[in-house]
Amino acid sequence: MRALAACAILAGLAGVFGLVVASHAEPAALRPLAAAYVRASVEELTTPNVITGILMAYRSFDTLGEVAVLYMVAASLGLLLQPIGDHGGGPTEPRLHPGEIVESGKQVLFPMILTFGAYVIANGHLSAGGGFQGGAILASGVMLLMIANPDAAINVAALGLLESAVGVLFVAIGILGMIHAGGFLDPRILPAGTLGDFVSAGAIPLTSALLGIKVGAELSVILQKFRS
Amino acid sequence: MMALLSGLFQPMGIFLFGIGGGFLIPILHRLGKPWLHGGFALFLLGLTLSSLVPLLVVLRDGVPLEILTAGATPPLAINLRFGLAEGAVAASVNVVACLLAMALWDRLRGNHVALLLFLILTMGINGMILTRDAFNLFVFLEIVSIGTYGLLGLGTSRAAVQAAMKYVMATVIASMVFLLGTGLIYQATGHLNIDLLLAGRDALGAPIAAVGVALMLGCLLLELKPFPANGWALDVYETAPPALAAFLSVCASAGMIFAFAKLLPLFPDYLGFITASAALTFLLSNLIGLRQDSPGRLLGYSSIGQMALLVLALAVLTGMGAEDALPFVVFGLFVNHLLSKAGLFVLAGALGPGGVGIARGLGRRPGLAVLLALFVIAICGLPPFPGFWAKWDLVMHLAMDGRTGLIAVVLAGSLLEAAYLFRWFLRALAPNDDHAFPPTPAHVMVPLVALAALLMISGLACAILTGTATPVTLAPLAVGAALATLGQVVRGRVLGAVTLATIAATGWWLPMPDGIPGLFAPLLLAGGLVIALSGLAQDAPGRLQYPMLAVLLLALQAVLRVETGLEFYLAWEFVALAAFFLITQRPQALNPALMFLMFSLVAAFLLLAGFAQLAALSGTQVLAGLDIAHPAALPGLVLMAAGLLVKGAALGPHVWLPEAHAEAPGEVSAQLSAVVTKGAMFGLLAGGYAVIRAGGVDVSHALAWIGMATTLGGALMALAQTDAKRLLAYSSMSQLGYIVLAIALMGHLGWVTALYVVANHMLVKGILFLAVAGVVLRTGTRRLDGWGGLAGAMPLTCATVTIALLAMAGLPPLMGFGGKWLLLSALVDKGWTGLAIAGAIATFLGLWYMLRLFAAMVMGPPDSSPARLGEAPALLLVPQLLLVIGIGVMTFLPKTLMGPVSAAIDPDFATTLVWEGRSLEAIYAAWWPMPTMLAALGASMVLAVLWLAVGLTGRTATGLRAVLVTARPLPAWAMPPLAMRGWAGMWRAAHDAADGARRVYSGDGQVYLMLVLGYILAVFAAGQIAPS
Amino acid sequence: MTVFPVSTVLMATGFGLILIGLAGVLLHRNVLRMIIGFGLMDSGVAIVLVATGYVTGGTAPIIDADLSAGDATARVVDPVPSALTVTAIVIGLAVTAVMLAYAIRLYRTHGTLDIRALRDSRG
Repeated sequence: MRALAACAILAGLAGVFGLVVASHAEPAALRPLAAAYVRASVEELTTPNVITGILMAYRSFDTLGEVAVLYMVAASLGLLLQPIGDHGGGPTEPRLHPGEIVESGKQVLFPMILTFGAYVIANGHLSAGGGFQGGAILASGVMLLMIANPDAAINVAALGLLESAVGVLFVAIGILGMIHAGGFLDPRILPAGTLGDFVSAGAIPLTSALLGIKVGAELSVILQKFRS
Repeated sequence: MMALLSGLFQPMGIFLFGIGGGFLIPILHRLGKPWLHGGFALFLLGLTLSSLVPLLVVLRDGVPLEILTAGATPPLAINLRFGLAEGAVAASVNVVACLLAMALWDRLRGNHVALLLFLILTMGINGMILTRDAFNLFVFLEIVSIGTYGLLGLGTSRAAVQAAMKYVMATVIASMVFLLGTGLIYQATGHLNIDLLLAGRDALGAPIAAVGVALMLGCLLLELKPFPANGWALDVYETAPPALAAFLSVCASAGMIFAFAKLLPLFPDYLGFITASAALTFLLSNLIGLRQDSPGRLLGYSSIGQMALLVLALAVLTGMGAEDALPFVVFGLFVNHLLSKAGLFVLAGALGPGGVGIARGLGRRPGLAVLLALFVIAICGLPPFPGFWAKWDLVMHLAMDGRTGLIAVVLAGSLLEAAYLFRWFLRALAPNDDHAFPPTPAHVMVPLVALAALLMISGLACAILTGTATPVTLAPLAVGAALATLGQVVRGRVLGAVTLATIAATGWWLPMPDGIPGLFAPLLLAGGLVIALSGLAQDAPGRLQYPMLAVLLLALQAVLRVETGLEFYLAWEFVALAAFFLITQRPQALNPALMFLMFSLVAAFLLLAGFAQLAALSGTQVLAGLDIAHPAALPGLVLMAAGLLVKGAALGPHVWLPEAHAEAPGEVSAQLSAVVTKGAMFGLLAGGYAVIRAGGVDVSHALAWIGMATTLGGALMALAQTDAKRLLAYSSMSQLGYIVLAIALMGHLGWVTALYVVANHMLVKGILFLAVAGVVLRTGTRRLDGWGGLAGAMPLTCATVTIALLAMAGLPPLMGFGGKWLLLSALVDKGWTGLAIAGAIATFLGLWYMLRLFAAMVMGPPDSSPARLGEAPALLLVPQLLLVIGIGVMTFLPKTLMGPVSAAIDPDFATTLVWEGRSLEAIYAAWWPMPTMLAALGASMVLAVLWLAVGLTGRTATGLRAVLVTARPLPAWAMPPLAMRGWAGMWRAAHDAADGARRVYSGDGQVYLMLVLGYILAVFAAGQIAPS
Repeated sequence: MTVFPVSTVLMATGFGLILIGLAGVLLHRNVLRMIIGFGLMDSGVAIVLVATGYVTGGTAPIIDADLSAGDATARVVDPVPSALTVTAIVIGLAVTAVMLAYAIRLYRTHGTLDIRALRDSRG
């Protein structure tokens, strides 16, 4: 009965989705707004990566919201994972030793992953990448560390302070945008520079870096909270 | 100052304080608790001021504030708008959030995670309100959702964890649907800016856009918890800490409802579906509320109902193009729910654990009792709170649009909501010394009082906005409030004397109306005051007694003086509420009080529905506009008449009257029976007046039979009583039937009679109830067979009772005689012979039951200990004597009444001035219709003697008293409680229906998810079916 | 044989993933499996979003040596859905983390992960 109802609902949704797919006509050209983004990102923000331009400037308000979402999750895990109830609270099984390959791999890869993450963050305005992506890479490095070294203590308190401080800085740059440029989170508080240069695109590299650190720290905190 | 403030607090500050403060909180947490708490308070206050100050700016300038982000213009960048609507909603949400943070302080304190979640969540709600970008709306929706998920972690019980899990899953599906919808709409239109979407909404018919729109709407509606896809929310309301449930139910929902309102123009094809879904949700959630025991879940159902009402109002008003009514109706309902539901949730916490059904002896905590009453009154849409005005306006608009079914749904749902909320209040009030209240700390009490104060202020604002804040309508509340305040210092007889003086002075000061109201006003004021005098006999009256008495009598005066339907309805509800609270003073009267209130509300809603029909027809809300000479006016008139008849205790809906009048405190019974019931009679008279002048439809014969049936039924039931107060209560019902009958004559003679009986009944029933109160005081019983031989012990009481009985029985030469004679003459004159015969029978029955009362008092040896017997207290006797004087005046100087009555009616009935070839003056002059009357009386006597003889011979001479008093004059089977059974059956049927409907809430999370998805499919289907 | 445009195929795939995820959510009673279903739905939504932004023959909207600023508007895919997708992925992650935390909470209080056993509140 339940399965039948579920199937009926899924069939209905499949019908709706099918309607969308059937009516989908692949566009041959950009719509005006999208084209405007492509132009404006280059001309106004000197940011070759249009997606970064959108994420870090035009829709930076969304990005700030995303940061808030991640931050809330990282924080609320502390609340949600507090010990309650009387199940599963027994002695935890001893963690398996990860083995030599992972151990050695970590030693080689961990610095490389961090470097790669930093590269992705720092070049977000120029090429594919950005704060979210780089931050996720950083966190993957931390995760490798955790697997390779099960007893390694991650200093959650320090990471928490770091993400707070970085968040405050992010907002502060946003306020600077209100004072010195066109509005909240306007990146044009710093010189635009030349299109394609590493130091260009106003405050976008700076906010990207902050975002990357914040996301990296938050994801690490989340991982650590689940681990403990 | 303003410039400085508006420079400091801009709308963007909401986000800076919210998110910046949120980021800072862990750092402050490291610095220590004072920093953490101080910082949180600072951020939340800053956030609130960032909405309040700009709101003042917008109010001053009348121009919305446009906020750009990223230094670019929309649609490139996200923009926000802080207009009047946004500002008003955001500011009220933030103020309530501050109060709820305080109420939740025991959970938030020291918990930096909860603090930052609360802060960012509040910001997210503001973001949903302000943003003008569809995807940004999604982001804020997620902020609100994630913040909620985190805060739900504060609930640690098993049930709370379960509820949170279901809540998370359901809302995740909803937001995913919104994201998908947004993506598809972008695909179809090429932008995300809400203003552009609204401007280009005609292009949204293409399949992909249509799916996008349906998905978006589906999410918004789901977040507003429609039946049946709302089980996930109910569990959370039930299990979350009360102040948190309040925050979710009022503040978070506010963001959702605003987002819905903002995007509503995108959904023109769905208005029918939205309306139907909201109507179903409103009705069913309030129906199911009847069967709830957990306060949280009960309030949850109420919240869901209120949200549905908001959605319904939005959809209907938008659909009929009445956008200019939206702010008042929707914002009124919104603020009303925001403040009162927040208060109720917090109060539910303050009352301590236990279901809504347990007795708590709330009277021991008068502060909490007053607050609970206030919030319950407000949420039920009763005056003087904003919901009252908003609901009125909504119903008027529904009537204009011809949506009769929706009016019925709105009123039925409101009635059910009032039923379970007032039942909760009354149960809590029931005495129980064992119930221990948790201490109410200041951090809970302050928000409660603040919410109550805000409710009153916003209610007053509504009164001013609607132009109903006139001296006449404000006087009852102002005087009541002043007396309640005075009552903190002064008690007992001093306060009573002040009350009487104030009522008299205010009644004197208010402008005296002309015409029929001008007759009622002094009559009811004087009668009310004389009866109120008896209240001074009490040594320690309840705290409510005098303030509510003032509200009651002055509101009754207001009913007689108002000019518009809204003012009438307002004053009418004040009368009902004041009477309700006066009845609740006796613990034994709590159930009758609920029944009284329910029937009063039914009556009020019938009046409202009827008036709305007429106002829609005539295009005016002035009472003088009621005289519509058109058959289309019939339904409205019938509804109004039905309302007045319910309140006038016509046979059928009469069941509330004997209960309430018998169980209320003594002098309150007298007041209700003698004075307050006349309000409904005035309504019938005034309404009938308008109908006749308009020469409209003739329903008079039917009305006459209703009146006669009530008279006969009341008399028969009075005859069957062994309880003196119940006997008097049924007698009142019987007398009200006479008045209705007289009004139904729809002619000059009938109305003179009606007014005559009104005066007569007021005097007589005042005396009888007060006299019985005295006897009950002395004998300690209301049972007739517990009395006896009182003539010696209570001579004065027996004397007044004798006079009153004679006056009522219609024996010459006392005034009741005139009434009976006029009535019978008029009936014969009109050719309604059947009614005339029934009237004669009723006269006989009346004679019989009054004889019983008399016999019980005077005949036989005293059954009670003589030591306790003595004359009634002087303060009970004085009013009786005053009323006896009134009877004397009416008897010996009939023109004192007849003169003004004639003057009041004549100008409008010049044609009926002459009756049987004689002028009325001549008729009154020739006041001696002995033959007719004596014949009727003689017939009655013969019947009575026959009956007695049968009774006496049937028994072996146990004495006349035994036959008269002890024996039941009618066997039980002859008087089946049909009406009571009928209403109880309806009540049970409602409960059964509720049980049926709530079976959908099986607790199975997966079923809830299926319902969520099924609802989205239903939305989509509705869009496909709807004509484009 | 009809050749479907690549974005149509992508879109159908995304919707398919959503349906598979939903099927998991509706048919599995183990909360962890349901969470996996939610994860699949997240991915599906992301794919659908990306698919809606595809422009025939378009390339990534990043100006570099191969793509001059001048003819960029004619040669790139719509950048907006991509930007939205980044945001959506982050939110998906956040929601998954919260659900997992609740699953842990549920197990600690109940010793079970069966969604149908959670019926303390009803009616």
